[in-house]
Amino acid sequence: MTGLALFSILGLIILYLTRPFYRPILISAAHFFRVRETTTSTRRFSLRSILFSRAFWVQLAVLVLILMALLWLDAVRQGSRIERVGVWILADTSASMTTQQSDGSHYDRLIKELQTLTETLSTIPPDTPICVQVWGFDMVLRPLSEPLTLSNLMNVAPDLRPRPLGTDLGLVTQLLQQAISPEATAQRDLCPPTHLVVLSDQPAQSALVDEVDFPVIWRSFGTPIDNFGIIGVTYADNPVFGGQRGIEVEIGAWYGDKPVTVRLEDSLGNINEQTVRFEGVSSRTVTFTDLIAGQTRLLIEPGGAYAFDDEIRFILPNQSAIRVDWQIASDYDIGRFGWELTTNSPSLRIQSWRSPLLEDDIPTLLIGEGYGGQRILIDRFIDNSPLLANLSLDVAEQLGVIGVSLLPESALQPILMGEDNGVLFAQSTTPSRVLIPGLPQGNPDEPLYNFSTTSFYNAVAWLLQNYQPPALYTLTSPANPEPDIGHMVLHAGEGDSTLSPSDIGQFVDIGISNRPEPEPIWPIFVLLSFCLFALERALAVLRGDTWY
Amino acid sequence: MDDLPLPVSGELLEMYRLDSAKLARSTGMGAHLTRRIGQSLEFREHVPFSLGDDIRFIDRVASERARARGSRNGVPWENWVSRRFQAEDRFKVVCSIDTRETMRFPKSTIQPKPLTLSKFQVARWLVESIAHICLSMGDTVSVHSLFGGSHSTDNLQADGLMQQIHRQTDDDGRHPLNLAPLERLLASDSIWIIISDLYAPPEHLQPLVNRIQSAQAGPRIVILIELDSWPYERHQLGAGARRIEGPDATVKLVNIDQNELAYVEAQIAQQRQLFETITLRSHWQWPETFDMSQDITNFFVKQFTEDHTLQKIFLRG
Repeated sequence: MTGLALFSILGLIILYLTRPFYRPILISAAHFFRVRETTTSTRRFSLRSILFSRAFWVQLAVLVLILMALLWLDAVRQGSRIERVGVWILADTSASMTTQQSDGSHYDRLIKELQTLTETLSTIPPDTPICVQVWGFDMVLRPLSEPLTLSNLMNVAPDLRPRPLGTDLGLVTQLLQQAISPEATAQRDLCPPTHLVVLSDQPAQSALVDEVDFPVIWRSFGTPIDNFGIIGVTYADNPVFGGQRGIEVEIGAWYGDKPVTVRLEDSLGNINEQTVRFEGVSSRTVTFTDLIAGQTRLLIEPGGAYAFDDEIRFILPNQSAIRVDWQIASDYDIGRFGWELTTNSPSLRIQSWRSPLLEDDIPTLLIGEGYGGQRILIDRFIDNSPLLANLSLDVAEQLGVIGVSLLPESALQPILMGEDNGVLFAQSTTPSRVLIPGLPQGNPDEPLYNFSTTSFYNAVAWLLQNYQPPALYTLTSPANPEPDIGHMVLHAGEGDSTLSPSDIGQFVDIGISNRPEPEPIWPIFVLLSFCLFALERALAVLRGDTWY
Repeated sequence: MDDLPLPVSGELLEMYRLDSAKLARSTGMGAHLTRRIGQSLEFREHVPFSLGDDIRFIDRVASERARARGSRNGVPWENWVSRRFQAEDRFKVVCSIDTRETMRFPKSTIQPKPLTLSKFQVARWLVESIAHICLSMGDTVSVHSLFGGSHSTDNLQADGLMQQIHRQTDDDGRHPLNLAPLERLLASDSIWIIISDLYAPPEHLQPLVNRIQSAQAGPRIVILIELDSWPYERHQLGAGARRIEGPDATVKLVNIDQNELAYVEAQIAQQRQLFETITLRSHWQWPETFDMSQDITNFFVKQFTEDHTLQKIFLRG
């Protein structure tokens, strides 16, 4: 176009150069001349034909303005062209990519996006070097290829298959930082990035990419579809005193509200089913009790678009996992708690206050001198102490609690003392120790039973407040990604099929410089050119040949 | 450029008048213009003594004064001056000036514009000169714009001649031929002087030709002073492609060659033929160039003083 404009200008100049120059002259005998000359000038070229022709200058101005508009557009186009293209593709390989849609899985959609990207990149002028570096991300960021060209980009497709892992979107930011980092890396050296393309079923997160001034194109392809699945499984009973003979199963419903059946199958093949109706609630909890230990299978039907949360298998322990080092002679029925008595890595130690204290950090319950002494008067106590919760101090005075004298090395601090300075309750945080008067005793509904049992429960509960029972299952991890019995793919959010696609940018943005486009001024040139053209035509009509 | 002062002094005009009378007597030219010269009691003028004049009317004092004035002006005067007497009948001189735009030419297209004499300027000077002389002879003089509007055509007065002439010819010449005032102005024994370049379409000029013929049928004298700037303009044209701009926004693109010039000259000649019935006519041709080193007004002085047709107006016996 620019060449055409230049050619037009050159043609105009030549045209006027070869035109005879009509030297202007004023005479009174003009009336006697004939209307139109019939002979042509013999002069081949006349510079004055240009210099003194108003029409020439106006027509030249029209062409020059058009040329300027074209040159401006050319300059902008040149400025907007990118010298080379380096695309870093970050593909989602998390478990949610297995979600099935009507047209295939999310993985299938990813491959289609990759093909579209390949086709788009192939439209970039061939003189622009293009390299592609593919990364996978789920819970970790992985380079999946050496720098690729467009011809072999699709070869990476098998490496993009989903893995039974969760999604860490923070990895997008991590790769973005890596892309703009001045530090040399193998990928940066071999394929310096100009654009980052994120392909994921997760909607674009502007907050993740907006802070960095780097062109990011985020194509999301997840669409809402019914899914029901297991969110998690926990023990149903008190892990300290109640044993674990039941489980609670949290069931989620994403984008669907149909009733689902939760089936539990124990190690003996017994099947226990419950129907869950969500009724507008996104999750419900189902409790299974009186379970027998062993391999347990949980299944929900229908499971929906995402399969990893439809069925799990785990081992239900046959007894409590609380291990207690019982070092005191007593006829107390320890079995009621389902504790495992052992000296090997105990979670709790119970011993007489007179016994020597071991130098370890195992929570220790010290049993005092017991009850049945002389009636005492309570003198001092720590208000709001969890050890004294639900205890009546009047009852304590009546029960004749026998106080003790604390040994300095016990590190215990008195919680409740009698007027005789005998310590009834004491505790220390580090190491975690508690002194109580005695083990549970007496007959039910008697003040002694109530007081002794409550004080025992308070002490054990405080000592084991940080105790966590062993998990029923673990989650898959990059180090151990394959699901198994007790090794699940219940990563949060993977089964969330309610997400609508949200994109940032388009593939066609690649190949266009991200430099800000200047304010367009070419329309002004065109407008001026049009005005001059109209003026020139009007003058030609009004003045006829003499205008030239 | 049409308001330059008259380049001829009053004294020179007076001498011109005297010379004209002398020339007429010596050559016998223009006898029909000679008035009925009588010996009334009214002294009219001094005239150069001519062969045949009554030597009783020689005025020695005036002769000496004329000699002294001539030596001051560089125009030697060696003749005697005699007194002349005349009856009371005087002429009525009507000067019709063509005020059309063609008369505003020649113009210069060069910047800065050198001084050129337009035909209109020359016409005004001519009227002023004629009026100056005629008024001194006791005639009445009026100015008439051929293509003007309703200008005053009052008789000119001796004082402020130039201003009066300007006022009565101050129009753009775009009106139709204005012959109506002539009915009143052209009385018997009047002299009608027409000053024009005749550069107009024949249909515009034909009524004027008719009027001239009508005027010539009576006891009137018609004189045509044709101001012809064609030699000057032809020289300016040269040869080659020209963008000719003329009066009334006329613009023509012309290739000037001998054929084209011949065509134009034929057109002009055809115009002239329309007025061939006028026997008293002068043809003032502009020179091809003006010598800028000299006073361009010399062109007028020369043309005026050497115009024998015009001199006949002043033959008074």
